[in-house]
Amino acid sequence: MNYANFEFLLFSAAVVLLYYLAGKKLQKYVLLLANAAFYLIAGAKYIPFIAVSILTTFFCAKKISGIWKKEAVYLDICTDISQEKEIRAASKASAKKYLMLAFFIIIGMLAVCKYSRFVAENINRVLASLSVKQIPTFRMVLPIGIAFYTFMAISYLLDVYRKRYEAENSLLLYAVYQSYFPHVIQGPIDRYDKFSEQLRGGVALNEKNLVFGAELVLWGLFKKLVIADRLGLFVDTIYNGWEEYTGVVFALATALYTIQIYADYSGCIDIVSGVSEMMGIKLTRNFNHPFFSKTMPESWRRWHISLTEWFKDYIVSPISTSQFVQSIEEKRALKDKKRTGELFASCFPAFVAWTVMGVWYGARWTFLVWGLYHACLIILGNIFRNPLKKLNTKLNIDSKTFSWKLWQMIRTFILCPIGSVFFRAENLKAAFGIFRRSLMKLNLAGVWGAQLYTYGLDRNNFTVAIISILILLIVDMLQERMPVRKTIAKQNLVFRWLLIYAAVVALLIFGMYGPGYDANAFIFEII
Amino acid sequence: MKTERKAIRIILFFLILILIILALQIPFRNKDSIAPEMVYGFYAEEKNSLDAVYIGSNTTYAFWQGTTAWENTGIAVYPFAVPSLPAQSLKYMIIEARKTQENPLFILNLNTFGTTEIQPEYIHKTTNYLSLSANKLKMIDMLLDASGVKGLDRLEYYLPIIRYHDEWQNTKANDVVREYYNYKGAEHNKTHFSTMKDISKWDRVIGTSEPVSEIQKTILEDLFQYIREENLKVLFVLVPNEASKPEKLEQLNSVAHYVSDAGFSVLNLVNQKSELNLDTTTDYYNEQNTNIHGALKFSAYLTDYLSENYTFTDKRGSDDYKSWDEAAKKWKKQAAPYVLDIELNYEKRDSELEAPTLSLKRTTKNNAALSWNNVDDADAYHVYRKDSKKNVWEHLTELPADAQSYTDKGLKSGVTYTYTIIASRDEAGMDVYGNCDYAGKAVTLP
Repeated sequence: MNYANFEFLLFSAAVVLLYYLAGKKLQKYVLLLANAAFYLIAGAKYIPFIAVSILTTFFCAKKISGIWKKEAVYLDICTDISQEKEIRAASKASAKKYLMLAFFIIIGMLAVCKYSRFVAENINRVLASLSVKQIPTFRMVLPIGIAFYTFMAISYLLDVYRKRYEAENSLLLYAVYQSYFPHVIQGPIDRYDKFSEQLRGGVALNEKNLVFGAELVLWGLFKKLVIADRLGLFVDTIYNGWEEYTGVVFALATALYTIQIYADYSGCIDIVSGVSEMMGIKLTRNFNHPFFSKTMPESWRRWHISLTEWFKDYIVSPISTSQFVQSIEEKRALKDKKRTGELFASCFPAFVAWTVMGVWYGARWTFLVWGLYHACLIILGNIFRNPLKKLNTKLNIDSKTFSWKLWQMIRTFILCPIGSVFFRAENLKAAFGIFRRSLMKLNLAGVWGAQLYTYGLDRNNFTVAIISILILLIVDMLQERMPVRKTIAKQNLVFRWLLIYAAVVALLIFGMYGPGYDANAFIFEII
Repeated sequence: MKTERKAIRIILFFLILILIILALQIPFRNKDSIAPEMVYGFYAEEKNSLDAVYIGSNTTYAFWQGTTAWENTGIAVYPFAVPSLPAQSLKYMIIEARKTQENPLFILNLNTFGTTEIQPEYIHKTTNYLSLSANKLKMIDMLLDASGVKGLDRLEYYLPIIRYHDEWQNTKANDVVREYYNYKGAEHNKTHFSTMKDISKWDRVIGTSEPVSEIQKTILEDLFQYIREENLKVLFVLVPNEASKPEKLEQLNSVAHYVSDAGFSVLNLVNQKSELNLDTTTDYYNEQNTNIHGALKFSAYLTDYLSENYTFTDKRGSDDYKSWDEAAKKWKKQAAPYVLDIELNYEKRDSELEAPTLSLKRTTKNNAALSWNNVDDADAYHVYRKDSKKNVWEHLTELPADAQSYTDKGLKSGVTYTYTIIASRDEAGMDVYGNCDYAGKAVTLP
């Protein structure tokens, strides 16, 4: 589903108009209709899946909330500690049943749709080598957005289970949340409380929302159409025909791919966030200039933030505080090996989280390897953090200087793309092939002079790509230090209008859109 | 801030945005080489200055060369034509032309009726350069309906930047500043000047075996109605060419008969190649279009026809038509390496008089020896020479009927000399010239 096209913009404009015309009372209905219309166009035959997901989640959460309410009432009345324990245990068991039921249904759907074929295919590979009869593989059914809305549903259920807030009473409001067209297909993964509080009372027409939202949409379109899709030409040439190339060109392609993926994904997020902002609903932040990160952990706090936050709250946290991990930590402490216990407590949950995250992106071995790669980086980072610090003081390196920070950013920009190779390559063979071929020969000539312009981007397009990346860099740098849209709003009218006009003109001339191009759908199809 | 001021601001913002987007359509559109010249040149003509406006597609401006017509008779006829113009667009082109030329003779090229099935590409080619107007929008609308383009796909035809924004790599100052030298629609490219394709194998007598189609009838009736309502002076022309599908020509011939049966003036030249003295071995650059040699013959014929059947004043020497003099001069300079003076001067031709076959030899250092065969009915031979420095065909000498050879003396070393010979016969005191090998034969002295 491509957001960077005229149809989507037209659709959004119509929805925004109706939204405000409908007034505070009817806005939720407008949104529900809009979500339905959107999903109908995006994938009408998958509506049953999202409907089942919404209904299951809503009703199970209500049941869980009901159980907690009853528990609160009983606890109020009871006086006995042992009775208290019983009540709590009983309530917990009851609530857990509903939680598991909901999980079974919604995660089950996700697992079957997304992974059954992958699992079956790989089992078949093994069976084939053993010359045993193959198991049937079903045709893939990929309900659009199932990975995202399932995660949203999980976060809601767990929040209600953990008593963070009560379950929603209005099916309408919950349905709007889970099917919300700006985030249903590619995130961000919003939390229910933050979302619903903005919409619950209705939203008044506000000029700032409209203007800022529109500016964000424009910026997102620029990133996607001018930068990402343009870089894609280069990256595709190298990665799709990797067997023909050697040397440094892979490094260049991977670096450009990393920028492409950032511009593409953050651009699309900006488009939908802008549309949502125009309706007064701010979506959770998903990117925070990841390439200014100085350490890998920082980069994960800046990239696909809603996803890593989700993993932190719903996978890492529960595992760290789980019996299993706690008991190991205690055991190691007792054996006077406190350090290993601590390490285990910090690394194991992260390991699980990253492996799952890799697979969440898609049912491919390459994604799994990508996840494991990052898991290893975390583990290594944890193990070597203290020794490296000691080394710094010994070598008298001041870690607060700009030059050191720059080195750190460069280091991040080297480590991340190595993982990206796995993300982009079609399969493991290609990924390892690429590593091998990039080290085979240096082949500087391949990226020097006229040769550089033979990989899908001629000189003119390459220049535009570089200039627009610089613009991206400058704007991101500015955004680190100040709220750019607010600053623009403070400038004079002529400047503001000229800026918008310039952006529109740049988009119309340099954007990769129109009948000459295949609509470059969202870069990695996360279903 | 007051709501009125805010509302005005918002409206102003979007208004300026729309104007910017419209302005952007100018550098970003179909960069067909000839349409902008034809169209802008037409718009640049003085109001009500043209004797005739000749409307059609490629065959219009391939055949009609207005500068020579001007030079010989002082009539101003402009080809308001664009490539791939379909028949449906004729009426709209007339309407467009009448914005600046109130009541000229409209010459309508019936060859456009070969195109009634509209491919979407034609829409860009034929409309991108017209000025924004209600008529243009109606024309685009009509073409879109006829070609079956629906919904948002139609947007690119109103805003060509959607398809052509990639042209930023090729945009030149010319596209924005609109500085095309006005050759009054005369062709001036290498293909038209120097390509000669032998299309004689397709030459045949065209009948009317293929009837007029329903869609052609609809278009014609609509056109007739408009012409009658507006009381326009119209001449329909069907030019003489070949087509790889002979049914097409048969059908066009039927169309021509249909039009003349309806009472309109038709100049049907489809079987008149010999009348125009066209030589199908040298006068075409492809089956459809004449090159400069055929075009000059056609232009001579049509100019003659117009002079005999219409009263146009000879405006040579008039101050208001200086641009035509300049255009003619400039165009002649471009054409000089390729054409003989007798072509430019509309001298009488006879396609039955063969072209002499020339053989060329280098004798001693500074001489070229020419020899040729005897041509029946020839009363004289004319030798033309072109040297690689000046690169202009010049009449070298005239020789009597019995001459079969000639030696050109005093040539310079290192220069390439090209020769050709044309025969002429005497007709009532005037020279009538035969066919010619315009490419000639060349020799370079060491």
